[in-house]
Order: sequence, then C-alpha cells, then structure tokens
Amino acid sequence: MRWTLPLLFSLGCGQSQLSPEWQLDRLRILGARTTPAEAAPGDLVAMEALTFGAEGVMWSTCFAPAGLDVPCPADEALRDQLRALDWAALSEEERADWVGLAVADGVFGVQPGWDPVLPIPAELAQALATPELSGGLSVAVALEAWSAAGDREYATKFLRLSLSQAPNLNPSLAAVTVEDQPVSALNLRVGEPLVFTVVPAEGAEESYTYLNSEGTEELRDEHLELRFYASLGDFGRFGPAFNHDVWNPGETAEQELVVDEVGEGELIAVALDGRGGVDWVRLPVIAEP
Amino acid sequence: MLGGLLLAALALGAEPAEVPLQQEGVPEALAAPELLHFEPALYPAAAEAAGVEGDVLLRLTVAETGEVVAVEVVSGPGAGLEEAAAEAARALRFAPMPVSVVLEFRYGFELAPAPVAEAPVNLSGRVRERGTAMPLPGADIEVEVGGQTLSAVTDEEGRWSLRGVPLGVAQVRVLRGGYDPLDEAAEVVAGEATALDLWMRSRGYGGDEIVVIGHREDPATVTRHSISVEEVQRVPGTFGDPVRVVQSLPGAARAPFGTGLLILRGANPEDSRVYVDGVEVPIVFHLGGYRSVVNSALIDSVDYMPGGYGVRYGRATGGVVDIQSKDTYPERFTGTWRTDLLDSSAFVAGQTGGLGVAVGVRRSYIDAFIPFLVSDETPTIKPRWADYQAKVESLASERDHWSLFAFGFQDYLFVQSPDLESGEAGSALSTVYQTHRVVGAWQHVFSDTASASVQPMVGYDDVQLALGTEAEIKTVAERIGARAELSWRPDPRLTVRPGLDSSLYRSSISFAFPAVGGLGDDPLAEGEALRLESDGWTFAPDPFVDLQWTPTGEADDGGVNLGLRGVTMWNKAGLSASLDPRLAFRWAATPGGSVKGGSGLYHQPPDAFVALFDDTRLYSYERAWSTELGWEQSAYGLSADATAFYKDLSGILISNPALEDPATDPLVVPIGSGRVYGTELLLRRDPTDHFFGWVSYTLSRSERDDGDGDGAYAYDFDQTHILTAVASYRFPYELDLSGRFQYVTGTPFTPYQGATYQIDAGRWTPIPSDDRNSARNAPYWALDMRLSKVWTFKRGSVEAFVDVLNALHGLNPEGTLYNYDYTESRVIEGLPLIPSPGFQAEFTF
Repeated sequence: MRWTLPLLFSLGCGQSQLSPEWQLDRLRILGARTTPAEAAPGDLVAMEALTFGAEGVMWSTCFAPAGLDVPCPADEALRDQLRALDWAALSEEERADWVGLAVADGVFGVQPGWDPVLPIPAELAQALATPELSGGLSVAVALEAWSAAGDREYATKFLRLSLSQAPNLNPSLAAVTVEDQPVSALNLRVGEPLVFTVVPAEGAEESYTYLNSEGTEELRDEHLELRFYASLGDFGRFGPAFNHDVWNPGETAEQELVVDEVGEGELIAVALDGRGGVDWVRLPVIAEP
Repeated sequence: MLGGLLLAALALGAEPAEVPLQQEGVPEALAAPELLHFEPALYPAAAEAAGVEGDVLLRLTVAETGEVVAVEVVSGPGAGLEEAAAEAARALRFAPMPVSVVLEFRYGFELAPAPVAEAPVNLSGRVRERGTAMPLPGADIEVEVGGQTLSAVTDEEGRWSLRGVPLGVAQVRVLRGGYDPLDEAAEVVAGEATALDLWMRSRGYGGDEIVVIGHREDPATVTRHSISVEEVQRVPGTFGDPVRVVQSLPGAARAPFGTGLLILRGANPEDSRVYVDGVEVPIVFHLGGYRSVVNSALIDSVDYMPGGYGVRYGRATGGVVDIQSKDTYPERFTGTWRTDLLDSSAFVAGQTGGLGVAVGVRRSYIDAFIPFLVSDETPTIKPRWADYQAKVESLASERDHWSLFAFGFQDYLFVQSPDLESGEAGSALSTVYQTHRVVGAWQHVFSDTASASVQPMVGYDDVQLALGTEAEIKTVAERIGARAELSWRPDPRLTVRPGLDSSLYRSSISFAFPAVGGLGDDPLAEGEALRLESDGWTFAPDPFVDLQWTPTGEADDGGVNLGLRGVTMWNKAGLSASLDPRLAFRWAATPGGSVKGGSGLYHQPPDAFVALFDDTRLYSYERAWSTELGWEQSAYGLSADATAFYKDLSGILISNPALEDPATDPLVVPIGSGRVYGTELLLRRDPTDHFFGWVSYTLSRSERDDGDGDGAYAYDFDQTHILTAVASYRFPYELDLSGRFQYVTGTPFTPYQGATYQIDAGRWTPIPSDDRNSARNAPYWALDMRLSKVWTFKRGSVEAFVDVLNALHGLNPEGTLYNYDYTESRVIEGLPLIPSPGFQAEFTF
C-alpha cells in the first residue's frame, strides 16, 4: 500500500516512452466476433477476426474448459504447413484432406481460404443441463495471426455456450458522427483536433437475467466498453495510460483525434459488452494540410 | 581499685575534651562504662556573646542502669557554661554496670573561629549553552588581569565568582569539553561587582546516543556502535529522522522507492516488528516513507535489531525496531518548529510541578502542492498524514516512576483517474491508515537489586481501502495489552527478568465488492457482489524469562543472555503455543575487542485476519532458527563490527494451491521454507569535533521455496550487496556538509516471455518465465547530500538545510514497466534529483 504514491508518480511520468496500446503500427489482433455471440449445443458458430496488418489468421480450439493454463495439443509442423497453404488453389479432395488433418489438431479455420465455422457438439447439452453449468460455460478459441514479414500475434476469444432461451447478442455500433452528422471517414486538418462520436445502435446494451449462486434471479444491464485504435494521429482526450472509455447506459462515447502530419490512416473502434459480444467500426482517416 | 575511665565529650560548638579519671569505690578490674548516648550542651547566648569559652569539669554519679543520677560541677569558666553542661550531662546514658560508679566528665566549650576578612567578590558570571540556555557546570574559568591569573570552576548552576580581582580589564577565557572556547573581556572597577553572562557554543558530533544496534539493556547483545542525535540529524536522505537512519546500517536492505519499508536481513517487511516504547505499531513510516510516525524531537533512542534479539520481543521471524520516547525533560520549556516541503511539526517539552511534559503535532501539506507538480494526464494523488504525541511523566520519586503516553497517526491517500471529472467517485481510490495508542507505565524500585514494571496499553488500528463507491475493505483492531516485568539481581553477576507480554485484541474485517465479471480465468464469467463481514478476538499472553549473567559483574566485559519465550495465540479455534529458547553472548576477549554470538528460535503466528476468514482451525506458526557470530574491535579512533548470520525458515504459510472450497479447505498451508545467510560489516570513525562517518556493507542471500516443487528461488527482497557510506564534516560558522552513497544490487523479478490478448476482456495476459525471480533489476546507486547552517542565539537556534536526494541523478531502477503486450519494457526509475529545503527552529521559553 505504501508503494502507491511513488509508483504512481513513476508510472505517470514514464508511460509515454512505451508504445501505447491504441497505436496501430504493427501486426495486431484487435477483436473477434462470433455469430451467435452465445451458442447452444448443435449450433454452427461463424467467426470473424478484426486484425491490423495480418496476412492470415488460424483458428483453433480443443474445447478445453475456460482457462488459459490448459494446454491444447498442437502439431506445430502441421500448423506450419496449414499457414503456408494456398487454400484457393487446392482441389476439393486436397482441401478435404487438409481440413481433416487440421480438425484433428483442433484447427477449424485458416484465413484466407477457409472461413472459421465451429460446430458445437450436441452432446454438450447434457453437461449444460446440470445445475453446476446452468449459467453456461466458456470455450477458449485461439487465434493466431501472421504478417507477410513473418510476425506472429496471438489472442484468445471465449465463446459462451449455454441452454439459455435468451442468449447474449452481439452489440451493434450504428454510426460515427462528427457534429452530430454520420461520417464514413474522418477528414481533418493537421494540428486541428477533430471531435467525433461513436453511437451505439438502439438496444446495443441488453438487459438480461442472471441466476446467482443463491438461486435468485438478478436483472442486469450490459455496459459497453469502447476501445479506440488508430494508425495515424493521437487521441487527445485520454492520458497515455488509458485508451478506453466506459459508457454509462444510454450515453455515447466522444473522442478527439489530432494528427500532426499529412497522410492517410485508419481509425478502429471496438465495442465489448463484457459477455462475449463484440462489434467494431473502421473508418479511414485523411489528414490534410 | 578503680580502673581508669576515659571519656570524650562534646559540647555544642566545642571541641572534644579528655576526661580525667577518678578512683572511687569501683573495682579495679572494671572497665570504663560505655557511653551509649551523648547529649550535647547548648552554648549559652550570653557566654557566646561575651566570647567566654573553656572546659567545664563535672563529677557524675552513674547508677547500675547506666543513668546519670547526680551531677556535680567541679570547675568551669563561668558565664553559665557550668549550668549548661550540667543540664546536658543529666541526659547522658551509659551501658548498665554491676555497680554504681562516680566519674569525671568534661564538657569543652569552644567558640567557632571568627571569619577572616575576605576581599569582596568583584567578578562573577554564569555560563550557559547557546541555543538551549542550559547551565554548564564544570566549565573552567581563567581570568588574566594585572599580571595575575585567577581561575574558577562553574557550579551546577553554571555560576562562578572570584574575589579580589585586581582592577583593570580582565581577559576571561572559558573552556569546556565539547564547546568552542569562549573569550570575553570585562573591566573590573573599584567598588563594583562585575557580572558576566557567558554563552558557549556546542561543537562537534556526539552527545546522546540515539540509535543503538542491539538492545541496550542486554549485555550480551548490545554493541559499542551507537549514533548520536547530532549524527542522525545530519545523515542525508533521512530528513533528520532517526528511524530512517537504520536504513543506512548493516542488515537493512534498501527500501523500494524510498518507501521506508523495513527489510531486515532479507525478510519480508511484514515479518519484522516495530515498537514504540515496547508497544507494537503497524507501520513505522508515513506514506511515502519520508517521516516516521513519531516526532523526531520526542525520540530518545532507536534500538535496531536486525536479528538475534532477546526474548523481550517475539512473534516475528524478521527483525525488530523499538523506538524509545524521551524520559528526560528540559528544566525550562523548550519548543521546536520544523518546516520543509512535505510537512510542518511543532514540539514542546519541559517540566512543571514535578512532572515532565511533552507535546508534539505534525501535519503534511504535500497534497496541496501535488496538483501543481504533475500534468493533467497523470492520476491526481493526494497524500496526507498527521500525527500527535502527548506524554506526562513523574520526575519526583526515585523509587516510583510513572508515565502516560498517548500517540497516534493518520495517513490518507486519494487517487483519482484523470479521465473522469473530479468528484466522480467511480475511479477514485482512497486508503486510510489510523493508529492510536495510550500507554501507561509504572516502575517501582524495591531495592538496589529488585524492581518491577507494568505497562498497560489500549490501542485502535483502522485500515480502509475504498475503490469508487462500492468496493471497500475495512479492517479494525481494538487492542488492550500489558507488559509486566520483574528484574531481580540475586547476585551482582546475575539478573533474572521474568515477564509477561500480553495482548487481547478484537479484529474485524468487512469486505464489499461489486459484481464484476471477467475475473479469474474466464472473462465471460458473471460476477457476483461480494460482501463479507467477520470479527473475532485473539488473546496472546506471552510469558518470558531472561537470565543475564555477567561473569565480572561489569556489563562492559560482556555476558550471557539465556532466555525462553512462550508464543501463544488463543482464538475461536483454540489455543496454540510454542516455546522459543534463545541464547546470546558477548565476551571482551581482548582490549577493545569482543566476540559475540547467539542462536535462537523465533515463531510467528499467522496474521489475525487469516483466523477471521477461517476460525475453524488452528494454523501453525512460521519458524525461524537464527544463528549469528561476530567480532567487534575498537582501536585508533575506529570501531569495526563483523557479523555472520544464518537463518533457517520453515513452516512458511503459503496460499493453499489445492484450495477448492474456502469453507472446508485451509486457506494457507505451511509448506514454504527458506534460508537467509550472509555477513554484515560496519566500520565507523568515532565522532570528532568536525567529522563523523561510517561504511556499512552487507553481503547476503535470501532464498525461499514455496513447496510447489519448483525449488528455491531468490526471494523478492534479496539484495546481494548493500554498501552504504556516510560522512559529514562541520566547517566553521556551524556549516555542515554531509553525504551518503549507496550501492545496492537490484532486486530479483520474474521476466515475462510474452503475452496473450484476451479479446473479451480487452486485456493482455503475460506469460511469466518458468524460473521465478530469474532476472534482476539493474544495481541502484545514489549520492544524497545535505547542507545545513545553524544560527545559534542565546535562547534558541535556527537551522536551515537542504537535502538533495540522488545528487548525481543515478538511474535508480525500481522495477520493470511493460507496454500493453509485454513486448517492450523500460526501467521504472526511482525518485529523480529532489532538493528539499527546510528549516528547524528551537527556542527556550
């Protein structure tokens, strides 16, 4: 406890020397969305990755219980081959063979060429029917992205499985506005801050029922968290240690971007509902003199 | 025949006179009757006025019982002396005899000699210390005037006088050890008495010892190394705080960020104990570690025991620091005011009505300045601290001594994120420490060989941590306790000290946390609001007995301490106890050289709050077996101390790795172990008038094994090399320049080998290296400087000073800071170059 004061001094003074999380200047995995956001046994779950600078993405799972410390077996030699494949050039038989090998190793998608779709085993229904799992369980999905330069990036996406009659939905971002007008790009002048707003769609923040450990149902509300990324410029509103905002229910998120050189880049805003639901919006950033 | 009788008699104001013998009816074989009671005669005023003196010869008849039954005047000078002698003689008493006797008895009356006419006192003075107005007894006065040299010595009041000093201009020189010579001129005029008011200026370092390595009451462990008040106040980096000086001594590791954490011989700071007058307090420094929680002006001494301490202390496997409050008070009330960038304090002490009284207060104001010093992008930090002390002590009786001491402090820290408007509590973090103690003490001296003391105490501790408006942890401990001790010396070489160190405290904890999902391994897991309240009591009556044997009867020659302490804990789960035997010795083996050593067992009960969460089981005590051996040597104005130590740790309580159900599984399990070993060196130049300094070096290794099969690792507080050099020089005009250099091996840490991004939580999870604490921070080195100037007035002094921390702007690595995905890192630098000016004023009312 007594370390707090000098530690905060130090953190506050020196954080800017390290790359900020919002800055897009290398290979990144920024998000992953599953459809549906919360799945049931027997569903086919489509997945989509939000990356920056990626040439390809590999998806895998071993249906391990939630937790990162459970290693899934992986045949690295096979995965090297999967990464190198030109999936579009494969015949159907070749593709089927490779998919068979990949699925046996937990891989269920390699992009580009093999879009990830994860079938949820129907037999999980029995386990999910037990009182211990009445709230559902989470399955870890591993993402591995690589760039043309050979860089690798890893991320974990959790997929919620349950028998809920009102499963969670992905949030939806309606628009990005400047001075209350929707925009498809952020056009700004060098050195002049541009204030823009990310507007969630109606009902993006859901209300849901949670059965607590005492067997009582609680009515809860989602609170979207918004994370900003940019390949050009700097965010003016937040300190270097913070790159996200927390929406209070019914409010919008306002942000400020400043660019100090002419160029074009990209703004990405990612919304997380805290229950596995994800949405994002990408806009070009054009900075003129 | 009668034997001879010879008696001596005294009259008031008279010399003894011999008594001739008379032979009358007394057997020759009888001895002279023994005079049992002599009654002096009153000198008649008329005879005294007339100057009449001489002997009065009486003839006494003494009965067999020894009573004088008849008095006859034989001769006398007259003027009433005969009557006075006869009156007194009737009250004489002799030892009983077989027969009645008659004897002659003579009272001698002699007037005191008339005073010789002396020259009048015509030159006198009083010598006092500048700044304190304290009288200086024993000062040598030399007066040269008219070709003569006269001398005098000041009395207890600092006064002196000379008679018959020749007329003219007298050169007066005053000399006293520890003070600058004082020269003054005074003109001695006929018919006048010249009085001088002389103020001497204290010089050099020395004075009262304030920091002692070891416990001063233990002949076997106390060392010759002690540090005076003057030295303490001039050690850079301590801000004049005597408690901070221990961080420059052997065995004390450097505290991160200058926090003042007590890391003694590689132990966890929580395993060491801090006492004020023998009463435990939870922390020793205010927030940031700049100030100890007791006003420096009230501190009499600091006993510093990094290990191997006696049975008067216990319940800890680390070291002990005991701050002793002053028990002496200036005859006149004196005040101290101190101000610097961080805080201000005031202190007043003095004597009144046979009581010593001391009152001190302190309040920080750095919270008011911080918003001007940091940018808007950094968190708003508002630290604040305050403390108070009030002590009353009896000074009248030598046999009974009592005191009442109340002290306390409050520390408050508020942190607010910069991205929310001020006043929104959602991002605010606040912590509050609060401790109060009222300590009584009574000591009774039965005889030169026996005394007893009782020290009752009541206390209150409160620690609160709040995050926003919904998350809060609050712990409260209400304490009562008493320390009772009996000291008995049946033999000049042996002292027996049985005692009881008992405390009863009621602890409570309330824990509230809002429903936050995503904690733990599953970022999608729903959270539930957590509210927990628990309380319980703990009774710890620790008995101890300590035998001190000094073979020569002189503690300086060394001795042996043999002690036994019971460590107890009684709570809802039951009673647990252990016995700690300890042995220490010191032997003056050579002139100026002593060998010392010891070995002992130390048990540390689990934290009271473990029992609050789980009061269904008795948790075992952590154990340390500590052994040390050393040599002290003093020669050529230098003193050296070398001590090697080894401490074996076992039964360390580790969070239960197999914990599944907190309701049934133990929260902690005693599977940890460890060891600490090394050597400590101290080379010190004995303080002179202008210089003091020392070099302290510790070479040590602290290892832990968490019992998880991964083996031993360098403990978090392990610092292989700790080198500290302190030097101070006093220039003319009371200008002091001091420096402290420190070199310390970096602390170990576990590096990361990458990280994984958890998309749903929006956070990166680092992957630690398999080898715990396999890397070290870069070494730390810093030079702290202090420049001070004192202006001394007759009844006060003012000191202006500037402390410059890290004057050479060393890197000061305190840790490693990573970027968001742990692919980049940089050193967390400690405090940069910080000049801290201030002043301290002392004055006598």
